[in-house]
This record gives sequence, structure tokens and C-alpha cells, in this order.
Amino acid sequence: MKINFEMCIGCENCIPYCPMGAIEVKDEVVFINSDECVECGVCLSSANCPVEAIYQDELEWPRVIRSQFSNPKKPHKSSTKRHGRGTEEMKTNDVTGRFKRGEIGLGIELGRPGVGVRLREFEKFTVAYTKLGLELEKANSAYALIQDPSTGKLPPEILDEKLMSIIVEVKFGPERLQEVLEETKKLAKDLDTVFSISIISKVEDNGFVPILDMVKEAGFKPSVNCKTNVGLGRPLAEEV
Amino acid sequence: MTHSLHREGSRDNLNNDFVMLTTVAVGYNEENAKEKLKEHFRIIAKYDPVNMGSHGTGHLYTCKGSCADTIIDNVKGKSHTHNAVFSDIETLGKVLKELNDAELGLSVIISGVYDEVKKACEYAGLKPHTVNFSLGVHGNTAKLAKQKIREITTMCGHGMISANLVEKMVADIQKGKITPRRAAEKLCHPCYCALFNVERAESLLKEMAVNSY
Repeated sequence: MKINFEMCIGCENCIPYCPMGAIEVKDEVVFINSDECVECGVCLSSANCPVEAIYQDELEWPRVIRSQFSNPKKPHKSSTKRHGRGTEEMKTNDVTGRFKRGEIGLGIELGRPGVGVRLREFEKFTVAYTKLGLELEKANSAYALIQDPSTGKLPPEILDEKLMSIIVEVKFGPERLQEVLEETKKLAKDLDTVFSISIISKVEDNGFVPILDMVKEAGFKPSVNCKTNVGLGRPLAEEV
Repeated sequence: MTHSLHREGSRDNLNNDFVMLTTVAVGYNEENAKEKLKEHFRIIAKYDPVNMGSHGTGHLYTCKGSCADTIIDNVKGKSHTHNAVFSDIETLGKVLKELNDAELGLSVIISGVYDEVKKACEYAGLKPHTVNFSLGVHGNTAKLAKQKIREITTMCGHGMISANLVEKMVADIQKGKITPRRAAEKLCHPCYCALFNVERAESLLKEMAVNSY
């Protein structure tokens, strides 16, 4: 994203709109700090520049990754063709049966909320989880960034790219929950950003969610609010 | 993705915040998806939602004219979730019941306080199938915006709402330059997916303009 200096009248109206705080003023010139900009497009779509001085420049590899993971209107052209940063995960589980009884889904969304993330921070998780023997979700657009699935390493030339957020998705059995959460705690210590954790499971017939007690034992506090698939999708997935 | 999860707030102010996401399962039940999604929005529109739409259709605060009709007309088909926001559990229960009766076969997900969502499901004759809980924010949390600001910004899971814009809106309300309602609507604009709860934001902004945060 760029500002046309010749058109800009210096009103500074756009500055507060940037979720990354990347619009700056120096020597009375308003400009976008391209290293901090994640190409989310909010300044262009919502800041209502009175002279239309903000414009989207052409993005080449690897900078285009920023736009694909930060602007929900931009699809992942080279991988899943989808918009957004994740998968259908549990949203269609009533139909797909992706998460079966007893299976646990874990989503680590790096950079969220409102901080942003360099891909070198994401790589710390993909490497650590791969070392644990966890299989990273292939349907997630983030998987396409991994150069070596046996190590979880990314291509070196993309590590400095900054995104609004990116999600690591894995699935495992309940016997591995404590181990995975312990590893996640270790990764949190030296991180230069934040991450939000989400955990998925099927609900027992009586409405009970067994993993909630398990995550509390591991020292985590589940939120009072959650996403609930209410089972309206058809045809219903059958549990074998 | 998890764009309706991780909404921060107190139990009290989250009790007025229920997001409904509706989607086809790609590769499983895409037949007649466009008409089914339109019908689901027709049902939702009858119940006066706080917000509805998707990034493909626009939402109640970006479209012009008869908003609900425009949004329904703009439904293109199977891709992405189609969303709505309700501010009370009774209305949510009624909508779920009508969607259940309509037998559209689309997957419906509710984001909200689990104990309350269970009540709405019971009213509608439904049982929760799968859940996704947030385990909070970790890592270098010193980089986070203040808690009260996050209660507003996290209503857009894609992170499109800037903490600086929330602060500016609060300052402008304090100076009498804008009403809390108009400020909430301005904050809603960058959230393309119709997940932003303008009523809740208005209430939080009023509180922030009076008390320190």
C-alpha cells in the first residue's frame, strides 16, 4: 500500500485507521512504513482519503503473502484459492466429520489480536510441532508456505514478511493434549508477538465437553464464550 | 477460520453478543447453496438482527437503500460464511428454531456464551454438536492494546479494526464531535464480514467515554 505524495494534502485522517499503526508522518509528509504494513487494505477501503491519494501498488513474491493473509478480500491464488486465514475447521463438522469423538483440534493464531506477526515466529511453531510428530493441517493456506514438511521449515526469503495473523492447525488424540500444551507454553516465552489459542472437540450427548477439564488441568482457562456447531448441517456425518 | 472466536469481554457484556455463521460444506452439500443461503438470510432478516451479511454481500452498515434485500440479492453461492449478529438469546432461539424447521441442511455455528447458546439450542430442539473454545492470548502480551479497547477490536476477527481508531472515537465522543452510535457505525465499516456488533460497541464506547479505561 502506498500514498501518492503529490496528491496527499497531509490531513492525517487515514492515520488512526491502520490496524498496524504503519502510517507515519515525517517532515510533514504522511507515508506508509512498508516494513510494518501488512497490506490489509483498510486504509484504502475505509479511511475515506478526501483526495484518493492511497493506492494499492503491485505486490510481488514474497510481499504478496502479506496481502493474502491480511486482507480477507484477497484469495490465496497460489494455494487453496480460498479467502481468509484458516479452514472450515469445526464449522462444518456436522457434515464432514473431520473431528471425531475423542479427537482434539488445536488452532494457534499468531499475531492476533491486533499485533501482527513475522513469518519467522510462525516457523517456530511449525518446526516445534513437526518435531513432536504432529501433522500440520494441509487444507490450511499456511501449509503451502512450508518448504520442508519433514522439518516444518519455511523458505528463508519469506521469514521477514509481516502478516496480520496466521494459523497453525493440528489434530491429535486426548493422550497428547498435555504434551502439546506444555510445548506451546515453552514457545510463548521467547515470542516477539502474541497468539490466540482455540481448541475443538465434539460435545457429549449430555452437553458435556470433556476437554474443558483437561485444559484446566494444564493451566489454561477456557473462555465463557465459544463457537458452537448446532448440528443443522445435512447429510449428517456418521461416526464409525 | 476462527474469526468469530476470541471476542473479549465480561460475561455481562458478552451476554448481549451472539454471532451466527452459516456455511455450506464444500464438496458435501453445495447443491442449491445459493438459494438456501438466500432463504436463511430471509429468515434472519425477519428477526431484526444487529448485523448481517458477508464480505461478498456487504453488511447492514455498508449497503445503501433496503439493506437486507440488497444483501440477499448479493448472495453469490457457496464460498465463505454468511453471518449475522443478535443481541439477545430469546431472538437467537427463535431464529434457530425457524432455521431448524426450514431444513436447509446448512451448517450453523453460534459464537457466544456457551451456557446461553445451550439454552437457545434447547428452545430450538437442537443439541450442540461440536465446540471451539478460546484458551486466551499468550506470548508477548505487553504488545497488546488495552483490555477495553480489545473488547471492541476483537469483534472483527480479521483484525481490521484499529485500536488507534477506537481511541480516536472515544476522544471524539468526549469532545462532543460524534455520538457513540455514529462512532460504533464508523468502527463497523472496516469489518467486511458483518460480525461487528454495533449495539455492543455503542454501549462500550459510552462507558469508555465516561470512565477511564
